[in-house]
Amino acid sequence: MTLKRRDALTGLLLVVPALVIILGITLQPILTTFYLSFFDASLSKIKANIFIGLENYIKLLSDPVFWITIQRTLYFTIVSVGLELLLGLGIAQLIQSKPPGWKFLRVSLIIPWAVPTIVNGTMWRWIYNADYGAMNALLTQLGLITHYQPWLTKPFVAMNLVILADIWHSMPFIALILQAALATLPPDLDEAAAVDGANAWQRFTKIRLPLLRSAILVALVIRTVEAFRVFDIIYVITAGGPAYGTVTISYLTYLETFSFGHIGRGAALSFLISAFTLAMAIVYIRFLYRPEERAL
Amino acid sequence: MRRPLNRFLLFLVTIPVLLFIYLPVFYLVLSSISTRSEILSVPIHWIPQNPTLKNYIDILTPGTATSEVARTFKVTLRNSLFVATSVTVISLVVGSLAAYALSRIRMPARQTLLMGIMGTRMIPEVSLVIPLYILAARFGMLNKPPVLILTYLSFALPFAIWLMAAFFETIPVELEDAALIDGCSRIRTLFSIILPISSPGLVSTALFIFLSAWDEFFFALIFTSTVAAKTVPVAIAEFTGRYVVDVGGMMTGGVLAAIPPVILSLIFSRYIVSGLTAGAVKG
Amino acid sequence: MSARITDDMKAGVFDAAWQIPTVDGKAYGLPWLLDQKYFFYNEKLLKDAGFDAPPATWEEMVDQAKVIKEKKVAEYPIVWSWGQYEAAICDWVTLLYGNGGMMADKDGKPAFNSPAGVKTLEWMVKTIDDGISNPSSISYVEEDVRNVFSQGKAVYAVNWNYMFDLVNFQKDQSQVTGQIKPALMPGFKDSGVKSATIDGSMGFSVAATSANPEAAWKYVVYLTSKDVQDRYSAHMLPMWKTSFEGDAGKKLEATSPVTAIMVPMFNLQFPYSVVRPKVSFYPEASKALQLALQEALTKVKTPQQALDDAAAKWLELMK
Repeated sequence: MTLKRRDALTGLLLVVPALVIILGITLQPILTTFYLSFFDASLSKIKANIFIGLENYIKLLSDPVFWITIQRTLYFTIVSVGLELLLGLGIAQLIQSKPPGWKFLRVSLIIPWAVPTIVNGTMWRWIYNADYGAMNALLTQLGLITHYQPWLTKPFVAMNLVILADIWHSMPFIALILQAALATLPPDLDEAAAVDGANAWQRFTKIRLPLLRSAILVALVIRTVEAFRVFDIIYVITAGGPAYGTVTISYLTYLETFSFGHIGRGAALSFLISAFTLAMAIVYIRFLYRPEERAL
Repeated sequence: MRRPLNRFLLFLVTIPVLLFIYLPVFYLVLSSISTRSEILSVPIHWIPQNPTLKNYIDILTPGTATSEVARTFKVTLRNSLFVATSVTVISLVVGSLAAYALSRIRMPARQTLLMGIMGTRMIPEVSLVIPLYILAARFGMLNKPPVLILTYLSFALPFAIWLMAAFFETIPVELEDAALIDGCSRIRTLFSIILPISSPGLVSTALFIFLSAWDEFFFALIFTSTVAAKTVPVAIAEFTGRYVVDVGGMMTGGVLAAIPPVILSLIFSRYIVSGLTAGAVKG
Repeated sequence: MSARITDDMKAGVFDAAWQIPTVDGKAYGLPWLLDQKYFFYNEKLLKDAGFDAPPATWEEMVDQAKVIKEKKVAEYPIVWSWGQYEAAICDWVTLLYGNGGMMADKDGKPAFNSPAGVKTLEWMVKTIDDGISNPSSISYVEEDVRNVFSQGKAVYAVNWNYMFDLVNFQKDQSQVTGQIKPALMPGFKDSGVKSATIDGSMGFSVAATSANPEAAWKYVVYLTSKDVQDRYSAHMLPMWKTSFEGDAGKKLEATSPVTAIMVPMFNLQFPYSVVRPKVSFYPEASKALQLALQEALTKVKTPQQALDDAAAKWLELMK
């Protein structure tokens, strides 16, 4: 066997354990869900499942509610992930620059992330409350508002407040991943550039940022997929309200599958969601992934 | 960091960041030590006039607790710890092998494998839960920790692989080149060079996996029914009754649930050391 | 399952409780614990505003509320659970039937968009506009109502049995202990309806596709038996008539200061209790109606239009 062949075989063998676990557990459920999406099926099994081909998909794709929900979910995803990336990058660089208290800052970052999602949701629901909320209290005491506001009763405001709650909870992930990536970079590159006359901003954007490409890509893909599928925090803070103003595509799937019992339609929704998230992941990869530069 | 002015400015920037992190945490702790009556005060009592440790006492000394949830909280903490640690360790071991192969070794279907592995993560839990439940029931695994470990592994592995592959790729190729030319096998290279250098990445990945497993709610809720296997998020959710939500209990549970991950990150933070490659490569 | 319901059971349980599991005259299961929404008011705050008695009609409440606002006793005299939850439908049914309206007509077709229905929703919107109803009601659920009521920020609140104990007797939970009383749910004067409230009782059935129907039925009978109910009903009341009569009744009332007040209140209010339509598509239909209420309250649609759209959805689901 050639060296290259042996190499490839070693590679495959290294991947096999992971594949066995992942596929062993998810393959059957994924196939079952896919299969179910072509049926008119109900959770209560009152009647047998009826094969209806692509009808679930067609009904969904021609339903304006579906598209508005996708739009809303995209808004949530883009704003949430975008701000998390900016904040995360900034904080990562901040920590890496080691100002006084940087160790404390790095440990503190874990805390929002470590608070369980349901607690996070409940906490923010109380913070945003119109009659006894901490946000109203703080803003009033700072003199920024004169009267407690019913923030969560306005759909657009409610959506952005949910985004804020999500950013607080999820931003540490990006910050810590990027900080770890920054820590892995060789420092001499930086020093060499400084000697050559590059200022801090140039060193950041022209040297460190490009090298962080892979880390940024992974952080973005993971966070985007998670943000697009957000459910817990919506469920706790607004339950999709007011007036469906915070219903995201996962919440819609939950409603269809569990509240209304249409598991066939819920399955079809799931696959449409997967298609969207896969598309987004591919877009990121097109723009950011440069495998050939890195493999031997 | 040379100029003191720079250091001072950077320090100024850390203040709003710390405020952003700690203001909600402060409120979290405040609600855990205030009575419902007091936390409803307007204007708000930033320092409670009648602070109470009842919530903590209920959870930490099960004998005196008034609610079933508080009584069994410690057990669920143990379950969560067991599940999360198992998932993390297995993911790191199995995952780094796969990640190394996928990021460094030329082999057929590499792109497809990477995308495929990520692809399994795309289906929302809501739809997977029913077939998974039926599978688990058939194998008699319901309400036992291994069912959660396996389920979480199937979700954690793709992330672990992707994350570590990204970290591996940040390492200069030349380092490996040198080792391979010297006659090291792929596996040797992985263990003696790649893993040590990417330790910041490994620790971060481990933290991420641990937290994902620690925080997972949906499957834990569906697959567990008694304290034999219940995890912390499920216990916290049980502070919600038909109408009454024991917010104080929930916030207390949240504070306690946040402590293990913070401790872990403290322990492992010294492994996030920068500049391990200093001097290893010239130029 | 209806064949298994003995005559003893039928006679022993409140007639009104059978509303829950009965569809088209056939009982499909057994009722369980009983509950309904009550009208609670803060007696002290009401007195501060100069009133000795709670309102008997919603119109009277509005009149009292105006004075309450003027005298600055409370900024928003009443708080509701009109958020996008089933809780909103509960309040809606209470008000709708209090205005002489209905959810569905005798053919099962939606009737909530009748003139009575539209008037009711318009009334709801107006109370928010006029600052009579707390504007956050649009995002609130039962616990939020309890919280606001416990702060002393509201003079009236509509909620289930569970709230009474917590707001009137638990100092750790409430700032208004000792000030709260229940009253008969008002109706709208012009409609001639004295009172109407939502029935929130629960029931048990055994699914037709159950693998163990015998065991399931035995369990249901056990759970609903008088003995078990008397022992476990904490925030909800048992369904057996005899639990409320004679010595048993006295014992129930004497269980706590809460039951001493709420058991007689239950008896007073239960005859006016209304159930929601028992249709197979209820969750989806309810969501449509929740959305309609939300759209009207957030001024996205007019009450007429919101209700008409919801009615159209019901008709669609009926097919």
